[in-house]
Amino acid sequence: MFRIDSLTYCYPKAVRPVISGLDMELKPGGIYGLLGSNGAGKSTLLYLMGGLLRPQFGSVEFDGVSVWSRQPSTLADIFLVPEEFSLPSVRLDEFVRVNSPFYPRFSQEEMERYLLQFKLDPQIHLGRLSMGQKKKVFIAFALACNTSLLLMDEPTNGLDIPGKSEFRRTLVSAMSDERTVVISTHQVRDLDRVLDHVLMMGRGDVLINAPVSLIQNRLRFELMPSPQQLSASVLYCETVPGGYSVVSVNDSPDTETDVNLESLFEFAVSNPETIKRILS
Amino acid sequence: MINVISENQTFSASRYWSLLKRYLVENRKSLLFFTGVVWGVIMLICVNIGRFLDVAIELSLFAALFMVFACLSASYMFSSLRTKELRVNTLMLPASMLEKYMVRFTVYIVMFVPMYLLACVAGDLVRALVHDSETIWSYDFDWFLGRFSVMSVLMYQSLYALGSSLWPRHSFFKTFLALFGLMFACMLFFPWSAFLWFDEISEFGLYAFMVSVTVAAYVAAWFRFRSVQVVQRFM
Repeated sequence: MFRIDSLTYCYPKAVRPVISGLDMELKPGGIYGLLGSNGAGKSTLLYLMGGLLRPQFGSVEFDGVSVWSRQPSTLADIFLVPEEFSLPSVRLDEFVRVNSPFYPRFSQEEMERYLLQFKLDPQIHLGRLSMGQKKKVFIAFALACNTSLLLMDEPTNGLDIPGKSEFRRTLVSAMSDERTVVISTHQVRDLDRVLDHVLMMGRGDVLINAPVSLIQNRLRFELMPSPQQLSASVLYCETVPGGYSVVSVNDSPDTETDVNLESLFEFAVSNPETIKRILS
Repeated sequence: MINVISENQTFSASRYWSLLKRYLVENRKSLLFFTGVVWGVIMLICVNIGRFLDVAIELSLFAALFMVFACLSASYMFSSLRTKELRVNTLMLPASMLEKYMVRFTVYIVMFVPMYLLACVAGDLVRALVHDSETIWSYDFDWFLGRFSVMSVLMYQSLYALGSSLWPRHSFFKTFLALFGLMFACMLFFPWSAFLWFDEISEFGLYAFMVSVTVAAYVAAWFRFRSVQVVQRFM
């Protein structure tokens, strides 16, 4: 469905490419978490996937069509919720009336349902909303467009605590086998329970591209109260409030632990070859 | 609902109309403000100093304002590319780049003309009523000067449209500086060109030059717009 081949992109005046020789394939269905440190290329990858940047080398194709060609039929099946965006100063019903015709699978019924889940009045004026409220409206509209690919850059930024919980519930309720969601985020604790697949970037390349189920099958994530309990299969250990966060090889695939994305990230960045070998 | 899949991917009339409606609805405040400024300036002139204007001077004033406002309108043509947020909004919309370009051309170039002409007609009627004088329709027009003036405005307007595609922020000011610099450079390095202009070039040659510049400017603006990215090297 979504295919990236040998993708290389370098920003103007940059010394080296932010993405170099990236190969990746996204299969339909599922929520992908795009994680990585600052400057790793997460937002850049989202922009390249949306056809907003032209790669210097390689290709980004959605259903066999280059996204850079910006064909209306391709754009109608991709929606990007950027970290910062602008909404016109019009009533919500006007905004929906003039924008929904461009998305053939837009559902008014779903739009109203998502607004209800976000506790927003459908009769609102976009110019009078706070940033967090605008974000909820934009997310509701994005989900109601029912595009096959939904890209989100830091969607929980600006949302209050109830809003983050509402976002998780709404996102999960909107998922289907035909829809793929890619979420770029630093706020891993906001989303670790909803992710189906982890994409972790480091130094312009993908360190991890694996389903959460595979990570749980191959690795264990535990919180140890003392270092004496550490075993020989420990791959990574860091001191955290309450003890030691440990990543180790999962010797018992029948038992799985919840993935600690923060520890996984630290381990992947410090041992990229090891993590690739374990998850291959 | 537009059937995006089966419609022509380069240009679709139904998608163009939906895009035009969307643009007018979402930008109505700024468009109404600009219209208000144009009408306000013309009404102010016609009411306050109308008693001092004869028809010939009034027409010249309208022509001068037409040049200024037409260039100002054209300089807003690509204002939706001035920030990253607006560029994302523009580029991600499911319409072809040609449709997006044509909508902006329609709003800032085509629709400006009847809006301005209506403002002039209304202003002139108000002047005639308030100051008990003749309207411009009683005037014997110099059609050569009229055609030349209109063609000049269209040419400069196209250059400001091109400037808007190169510099979406502070476009009018930057384009003015660029054109001034270009003319200054021409005068400096080719001082004989000023004398060549009116004596050597025929009327046909003059219009051919203006039409060529106008077309070339809009085509260049199109190529610039078509290749815009969310991160631009020069903005």
